[in-house]
Amino acid sequence: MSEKEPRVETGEVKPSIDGYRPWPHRWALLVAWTTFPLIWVGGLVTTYDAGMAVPDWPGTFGYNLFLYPWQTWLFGPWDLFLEHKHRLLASLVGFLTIGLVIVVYRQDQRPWMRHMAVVALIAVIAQGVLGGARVLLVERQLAMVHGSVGPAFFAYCVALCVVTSRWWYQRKAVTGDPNGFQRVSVLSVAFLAYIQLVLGALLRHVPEAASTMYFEVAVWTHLVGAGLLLSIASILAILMFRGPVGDSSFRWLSYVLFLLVCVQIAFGCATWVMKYHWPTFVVQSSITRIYALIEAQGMLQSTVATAHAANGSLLLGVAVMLAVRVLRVHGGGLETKEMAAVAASSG
Amino acid sequence: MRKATEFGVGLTLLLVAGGCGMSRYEFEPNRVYLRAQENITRVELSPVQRQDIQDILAFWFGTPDEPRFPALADVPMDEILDLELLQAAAGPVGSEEDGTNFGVYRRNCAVCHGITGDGIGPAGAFLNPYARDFRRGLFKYTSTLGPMTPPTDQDLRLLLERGMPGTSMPSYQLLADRDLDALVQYVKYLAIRGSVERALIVESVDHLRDADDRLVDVDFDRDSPERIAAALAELTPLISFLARPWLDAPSRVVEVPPRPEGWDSSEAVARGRELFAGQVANCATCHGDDGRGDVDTVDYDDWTKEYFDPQNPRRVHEYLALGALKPREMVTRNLQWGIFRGGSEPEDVYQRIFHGIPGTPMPAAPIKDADAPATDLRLTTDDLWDLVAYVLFLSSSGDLVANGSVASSNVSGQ
Amino acid sequence: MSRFLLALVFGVCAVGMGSIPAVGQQYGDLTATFVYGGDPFVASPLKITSDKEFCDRFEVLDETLVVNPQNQGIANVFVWLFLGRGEQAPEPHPSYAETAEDKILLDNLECRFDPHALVLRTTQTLILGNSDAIGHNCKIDTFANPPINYTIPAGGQLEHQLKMPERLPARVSCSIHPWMSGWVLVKDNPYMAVSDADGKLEIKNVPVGTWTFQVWQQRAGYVNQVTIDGQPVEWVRGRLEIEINPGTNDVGTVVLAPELFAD
Repeated sequence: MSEKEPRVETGEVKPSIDGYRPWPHRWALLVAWTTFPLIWVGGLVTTYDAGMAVPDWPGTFGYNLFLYPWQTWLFGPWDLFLEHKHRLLASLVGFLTIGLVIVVYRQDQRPWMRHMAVVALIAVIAQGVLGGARVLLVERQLAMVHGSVGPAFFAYCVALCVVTSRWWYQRKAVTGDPNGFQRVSVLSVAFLAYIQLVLGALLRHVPEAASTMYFEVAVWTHLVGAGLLLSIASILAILMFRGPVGDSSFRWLSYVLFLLVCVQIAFGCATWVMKYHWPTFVVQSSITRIYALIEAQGMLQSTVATAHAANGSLLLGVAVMLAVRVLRVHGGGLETKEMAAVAASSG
Repeated sequence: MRKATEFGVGLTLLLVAGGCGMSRYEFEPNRVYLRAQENITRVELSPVQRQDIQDILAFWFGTPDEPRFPALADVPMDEILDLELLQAAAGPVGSEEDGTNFGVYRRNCAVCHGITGDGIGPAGAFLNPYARDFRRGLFKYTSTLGPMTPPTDQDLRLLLERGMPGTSMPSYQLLADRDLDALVQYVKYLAIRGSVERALIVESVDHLRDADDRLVDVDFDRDSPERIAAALAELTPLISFLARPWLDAPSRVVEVPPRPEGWDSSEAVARGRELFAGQVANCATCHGDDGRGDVDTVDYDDWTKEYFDPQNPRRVHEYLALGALKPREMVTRNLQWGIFRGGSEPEDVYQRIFHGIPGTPMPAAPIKDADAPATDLRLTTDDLWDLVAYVLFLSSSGDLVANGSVASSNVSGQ
Repeated sequence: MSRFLLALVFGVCAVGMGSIPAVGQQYGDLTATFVYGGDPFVASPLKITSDKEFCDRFEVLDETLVVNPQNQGIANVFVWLFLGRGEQAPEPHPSYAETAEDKILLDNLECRFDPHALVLRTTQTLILGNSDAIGHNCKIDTFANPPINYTIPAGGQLEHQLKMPERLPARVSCSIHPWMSGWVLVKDNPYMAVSDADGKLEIKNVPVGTWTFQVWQQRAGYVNQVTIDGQPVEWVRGRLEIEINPGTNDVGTVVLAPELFAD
């Protein structure tokens, strides 16, 4: 693959849509678009420390989850509202994933695709059980794991969307990479984006009895990760801008990715300032006058923190989408199945 | 190099353990204070003697999940602390269907202030200023006379609601009433527990004869609670001594006199300006004539000076190894910014000047009695109001003062 | 600490209540001389960081260890009567009554505290003075007494009462001039002293009997290793036990090795 002369597809690709059926793709999109808000609400549950607002699981204060009186839920305390909404939405994602498996089995002939759909179902169930265990064991560490698996599932759904899309059927893998760095960097962005999400979850779920060093290491690693992510995303965008690309979508996807990383860093800085105030190197300057007083669990603080987490997931989703697409086009001698596996594991 | 190693070790722990098992919800012993006292007395406590201190504390004050306090014959502890509210503040985070919250301290405070209230929570090292260590029972912004007089419940409550502008301390005004009251109780609890621990440390290093001598001769694991309580009775005066001021605090509140007529007039500002620079109030020596606080002073707060001697800075390493935070130099407030940690109402500023800021280099103003002779150099309460007027004038038009134009024209033009 | 505490709780603050000492009670004086065991020690000047125009004209020296170049005597060594848990101070000799309500001056003079170290009885009044032409403040970090931090105008004076005995000398500092430091020991009995410029001190009229005294120097902490007449002596927690007989009871010339003052 890479030892060969890079070959670039410049001409029009002959459409090859054998076997493409729209419904698996539509279901996959539906699951992905339902999972995304589920992640925000999950983030809000963390922001408001509402994870223990309902002490039992899978029931809700003794009720069946779906039969819990809606008045109590909608007009009850904010943390109960969040937690119950999170559970309802999660159940919806679960049902949609079951639907996805059925649709894929009926309409998609690719055996690996069927496996991927089943894996999605297993993942969503495991994630649900993890959430339940966090509640039943009153264990914040599990909340952290739960918070890290969520975005991974979302990334997996994005990968499912790509491999079920018309685009996937239209593209034939071409051998070689116009620039060997493209594949590497696109995969590292997806990988780093995920590591950053995990570190972020770790920072948000820091155990109150942890040492200062635990927190310091997590913060610095998260910062170094952000720096790496920014450098790689900008290199990727420059490569895509200058070099020949296998598909025109790579270009705009890489620009979007770069933009999301910038936005993410801005949100990250804002999240810190609104939670822990100005860092020590500016605290003695008049900059602090801009934002002198923190309001605990205020609108601004919660919105920014949740936006940081949500944008992180979005960033991961776009990175995975680009990675799967790049692998499809430049996967070289790789079997499609293996590529899909690589793509999935990168999320 | 050491930093790098620490970082590597930390990262490994982080990735391997993922933080599991690192969260022990126990009160940390005050190792820093113990070492400081050991260094002063040149006595090292034996492991048994150290454990005794922790066992006594646990017997009297319980654990972070189950706080309690002893009943005393001479001080009604239940008038100082409310057990029900304490329990609401303690323990893991949770809530009931009706919105009643539990673990309020852990949810809102512990990440910075720590489970023990030592100001060394996980995020503690990043903050500037550091989160308050409650264990001395010393608080900066109070309405009560005397630096070691504890704040009233109302002082603490107000502080929680307002937050502290210019610091990492947020305003908790969105919290439920009951949660705020619970936090006030829990902070008092941690302060009393922390100061009792300090007293036990002093008692141990000062009075134990040798490594086998013990504060109390009991077996905390086997003996009955009655027997332990009886054995500890001779030490309870320590608690009484340290808790009574909390009971008396409301009676030591100094009422701020009403603002005099025209307290913020340009005449008052001009008088305040003169006092500010003068030898009696002596504000300008640290804050500078224009209140920018850029005078070169090197000093540390009392919490830091307990383990850090600026004359002998290298010795601090043994305390850092025990978990103390790196000493941070005090910074004189830039009054032109208008960010007042203890509140920016004129009455708040008055209190800061009147009481000073306990635990910091900011001294209390010298106030003369109403019947003092005119030759008495000290200040009157009216003088203090003039100072308040000038300080607030600085913050409202600080940038202009800095340029030197308004201050002189405004002030000299009266 | 517990001593004053217990005294407080059981209401036995009997000291100075004017009761007449038991007939036939005999008294003796305690004397000691503290000398520095190393090479002649020269104190270094302190860095003046504020009010330079005024303070730079004086040579302000580091007083954490003050050694007399003539006789190696160590000044500012505190010695006080040590009382264990529950022990009460003896009835003071009648001669102490006349100084019981003295006013003791702690002056701000030439950008240092004068004297650097002093002893104060709970019945006495501390005068915080300022003989300098600049403003000072006086921060006393007491433990049993409420700590204070007062501004003292140039030429001004302020009276302050410390009503509780302290366990250790309390640090006096000036927030405006951070290099300034001093020490005040507050006790509810008169049996305490600070060594003078020659390293000598005297505690007069101690009731006859066996007593424990505690020895403390700001840099050394409790003085626990000394040499007397060429013999090494260990004073655990700086405590020395001595039998007081009528007349003068001299501890001797106590040599303090430089290691005691090591940083």
